[in-house]
Order: sequence, then C-alpha cells, then structure tokens
Amino acid sequence: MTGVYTVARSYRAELIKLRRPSTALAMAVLGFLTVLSTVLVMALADEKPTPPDPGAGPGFDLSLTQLASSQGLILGFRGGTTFIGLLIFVVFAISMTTEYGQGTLRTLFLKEPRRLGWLAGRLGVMLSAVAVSLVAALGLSVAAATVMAAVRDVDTSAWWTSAALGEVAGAYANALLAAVFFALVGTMLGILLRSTSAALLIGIAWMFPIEHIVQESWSGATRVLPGLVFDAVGRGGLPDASYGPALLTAVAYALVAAAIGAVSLRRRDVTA
Amino acid sequence: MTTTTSTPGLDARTRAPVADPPLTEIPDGLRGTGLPGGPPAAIDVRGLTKRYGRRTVVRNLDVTVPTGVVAGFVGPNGAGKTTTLRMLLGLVRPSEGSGTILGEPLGEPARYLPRVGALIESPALYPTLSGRRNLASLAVLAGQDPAGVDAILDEVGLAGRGDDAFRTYSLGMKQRLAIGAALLSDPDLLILDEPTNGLDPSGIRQMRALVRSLADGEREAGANGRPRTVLVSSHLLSEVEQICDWIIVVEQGRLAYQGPTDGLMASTTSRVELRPEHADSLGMLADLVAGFGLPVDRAGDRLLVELDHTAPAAVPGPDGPDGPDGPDGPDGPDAVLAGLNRAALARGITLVEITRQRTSLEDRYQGLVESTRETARSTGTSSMSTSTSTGGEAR
Repeated sequence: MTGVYTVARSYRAELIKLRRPSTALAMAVLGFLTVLSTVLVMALADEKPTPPDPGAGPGFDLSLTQLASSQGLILGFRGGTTFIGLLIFVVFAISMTTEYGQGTLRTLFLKEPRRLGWLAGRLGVMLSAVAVSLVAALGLSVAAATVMAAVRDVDTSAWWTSAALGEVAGAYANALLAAVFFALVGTMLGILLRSTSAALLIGIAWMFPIEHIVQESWSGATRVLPGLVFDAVGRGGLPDASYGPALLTAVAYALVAAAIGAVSLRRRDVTA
Repeated sequence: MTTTTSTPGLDARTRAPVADPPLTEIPDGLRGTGLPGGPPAAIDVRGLTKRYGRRTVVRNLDVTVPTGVVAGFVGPNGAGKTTTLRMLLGLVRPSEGSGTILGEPLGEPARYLPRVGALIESPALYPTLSGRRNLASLAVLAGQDPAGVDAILDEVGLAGRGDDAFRTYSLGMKQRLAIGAALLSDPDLLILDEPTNGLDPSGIRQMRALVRSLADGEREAGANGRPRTVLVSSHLLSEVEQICDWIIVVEQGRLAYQGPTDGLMASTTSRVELRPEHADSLGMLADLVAGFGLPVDRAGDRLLVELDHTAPAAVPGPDGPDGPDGPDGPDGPDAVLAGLNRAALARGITLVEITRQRTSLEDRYQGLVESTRETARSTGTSSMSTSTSTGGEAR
C-alpha cells in the first residue's frame, strides 16, 4: 500500500506544478499542430478521387470524396499524429532532463525517496494532461474541419453519423496510445542521458530522419522501427504496418523503455 | 600592567554569544553520541566510502553527530563534503559503509528521510512557480499538510513574497525558501550544505542567525518534544565555528577531526609575551620561566613563552607549592599565566605587559588539513587514527 500512497502523493504534487506557463504553451502548440494538420489536409485535398490502393489507409493524398466519408471528420486529426508524437516526445524528454539540469530532482527525492513511485505519479499527471489536451485538440480539429468543409464545399452528412463518431473515438484512442508510447521513450531517454540536447538530438534524429531514410529503402521498417510503429498506431494502422501487429510491437518497445528508465532512475546516483 | 588577549583570525565578540547556550545543554559536548546510557547519535556511520571508477572521493569515513547539537562539517573545496551528505541522504549510493541516521539504517532512506530536512548545494526549486506553490507541491509529495506552508514562509521571512515566482527572488531569499522546504516536515535532523554560498555579508549574517535560531528555538520551545540536530557544511571554518558545538573536519575524503568545537583548540599551543618593567631583569625572568619547563625565547625587551595546554607547567598556585593545587600548581593557560606572574613578583620582577596570542581555530584547522594531506601522501589509502584528550577524534 505504501507504493500506492507514494504514487497518489506524487500525482497530487505534480498536479500543483502543472499550472504553469510551459504547460499552457505545450497544450497550445498541440492544438495548433492539430488544427494546422486539419487545415492542410482539407485545403490540399484533390478535387477528383485518387486511384484505388488496396489496403491503403488514409494519408495526406486525399480527395474531396474521401473527405465526405464517415472518416472525413478525423482525417486531419489523424494526419497530425506524427506532429503530436514529436511534440509529446520533446515535452517528456525535456521535462525529465530539466529536473536533472535544475537540480530539482534531488529536492524531490529528499521528500520522496521512493523514486519509481514518484515517476509513476508524475507520468500519470502528465499523461492525464495529454489526454485532456488531445480532447481539446480533437475539438479544435473538428471545428476546423467543419469550417474547411464549408470552404471546400464538402458534403458533411456522413460526418455526424454513429459510424463517424466511432471513428472519432477510435482516432482519439489511437492518438492517446501513440502519445503514451512517445512519452515513455522520451522519458526513458531523458532519464538515461540527463541532458536535454543529447536526448533531443538522439531521439529526434533517430525516430524521424533516420527511420524515414531507412523506410525509403526498406518497407519493413514501418513494422519494426519504434518511431514508425508508434506513428502507425496513432494513425490506426498503415499499408505497411497493420494496426494489431504495430500495437504489439509498440507495447514491447514501451515496456523495454519503461524497464530501462526504471532501473536507471532507481539505481543511479543523483549528482545534479 | 596591561593584559590583552589577541586571537588572529577569530572574532571573539561574535563568537562568544552563540557558543554558550548549546554547550550548557550538552554536558561535555557529548550528548547523544550513542555511548552506553545516552540517546542514540543522530548520525552514526562507519567506513563510508564512495568511488567513481578508480577515483575515491570519500574514503573510509566515520562520522558521529550527537543528537541535539549544531554540527559543522568542514573541509576545503573538493574534500568530499557534498558527496558524503548525498550519501547520508540517499541521493548517492555508498560504495562501502554502514550506519544509522536517526536510528534507521543508512541503506533505507525512506525510513529516515521523512524526519530529515536538507538543502544540498544551491537551492533547487521551480523557477516559474511561486514560493508558496513550490512549498505546497513539496509538502504534498512528502505527505504533509500544505496548509502549513504559510507558517513556514513566515518562519523564513518570506511571508510577503510567497506569491512571487521563485525566479524573481534574490539569492538570499532563494536560500531561505529552500531552508523552508527543508523545514516542511518539522525535521529532527536538518542538513544544510554550504547555506551561505554566494551570499553577501548581510545575507551571511541572516543565514547564520536563521540556522542558530532553528536549533536553539526548537530546543527551547520543544515544538515536537524532540531535540533538533543541525549539520551544516562549509569550506570556511570561521563560518561554522560561530554557530557549531561540534565539528567534523574532512580533507581529501578522510576524517581529520571530529568532536566538540572547543576540543579542536584544546591541543593547540598558546604563545605569551612577557615584558618586565626593567629590561635588565629579562635574564632572571627567562631563567624563572625556563625553570618551570616552558619553552622561552627573547625578543627585544620581552620574552616569548609557549604554553602547551596538554603539558601544564609546574608553576605555583595562589597558595604556593604547599597549597591545594599541589607542587605542580593549577592546570590551564590562565592559571599558568597567573602562576608565572606570582613567581616573578616573588622574585622582585614586575611585569608591565602580558600579551596572550592564542593559535586561531583557523590555524588549527589548517594544521589538521595539512596533516591529513601528509598522511594521505605517506600512507596511500590507509589512515592513522588517534584520540585527543578532549573527547575529540583526530586522524
């Protein structure tokens, strides 16, 4: 029970810290990226349907006909999951390295030496904030999509059906899952490297340019490399990585990241 | 006749008022050392060692801090003070060593940290949060009632600035807020690492007064019914000697001394200048002093006499050789000086000046540090341990 109390105390303590400008800024950036994605997707949609691609999921190469389907309402939101993943990774990595850099981690561990309990509470609060932010971002995306539909003269009658609302719920759940995966990897790198520049350099370079360069020459990369797998989960599956296997692979990566982060946080000296 | 006492490097005026109260409360300066029959020591660790690769930062350190004292943890920069404190607080894992903090095992910080408050190095709090929310967050994390934050802000003199962002505070205010954070749990043991670092003279005085009041106030008021122990580290002996009853000196990760502050001085030598009324009686006075077994040198119209505390001279007491002090006379430098004066007068020599120059605590500290360095150089990893006659332990 001590562990549960520790997590609960940590959650409440981190909640007090959450009310600060940097939290609002991160939420605003998330909302902005989602709206931007939605606007771009709808503004750049082709007038004529794209040639059929068996097994293809929704990407940026869309037509107004596809936008008029029950999935049309959330195509922009789904398209933004890559940006959201990047943002979540950066925020979680920086928040951890900043604790080391400012020396606040030692202040925290002097009050709560059960380090893993503290980390669980902290991740709980931050992921709660991400969940709320994603709801807000989804709302903004829907609003932007409605406005853009009027501009592009898209028929939205299929958007407000129960099937479409199911798509919205699914898109939200997948975006949240992908955010959790990116968050865990960001946190793990932050704990392991303890340096903002190193964590961002290695994390962003690996999960974005390097993985995409590998993907160009090896289609299997989408099913194997962590950043691409998380992205596939966020988009509800991709042609090269169907949803189920991608989710399992992502969970495996997340578990490994959590284990490495936990061991490092628990055993290493706090010298900052 | 002029009698003066000069103490280079030691401001007796500032030291005297703060040194007396705690020592009267701690008989022999050894309250709660873990000796049989006494309360357990607040800190009692043995063989504490920290290695980073092939570099040993702290080497086989034994530290005992009696319950209820204000203890100074002194050593030059890089002596291993902060690493030692981090080990005591569970932030750094010792390579070797064991012991207890507040009676709980060193290896289980979760059992004693709720009763410990600490400030390690610079104050580390969230810059964009207000002082009040910083403390509230830490209070909740520690399982304390955040309603007590206002009282803490008041105690550290920040009641009027509690809603301002931490980053807007001066360094002194940041230090005080960090001490406030350490006080949240009404700790039995307060560990402060270089709390005056970077402060201006006024800030240093305020911090010194705050630390002293934290210890004395608690003792007098008995707020939680338990004595509070304070451990303050500094690289300046002059900084801690004014507020500490107990001193631990480390150098190159080794223990150089630990014991009562006064004990650090006990084995030092005092030099006395004697000037007779007539210069032609210098020779007779020198023979007289030498006759008591005290080293003496001539310097112009005066004599320089070395008084060794550990080897009192056989000077006569006020009642002569047959008096209650016996043929060897009284102990202590003051009594030795008085005896010399009487003996000189008995031989028709009038002293017009007795000037006592005590070796400063800073000099004694420097001597210990150099001695420990020398020991480290000559013995490699081993160290020699001896006990002084005053209850202190020197290495």
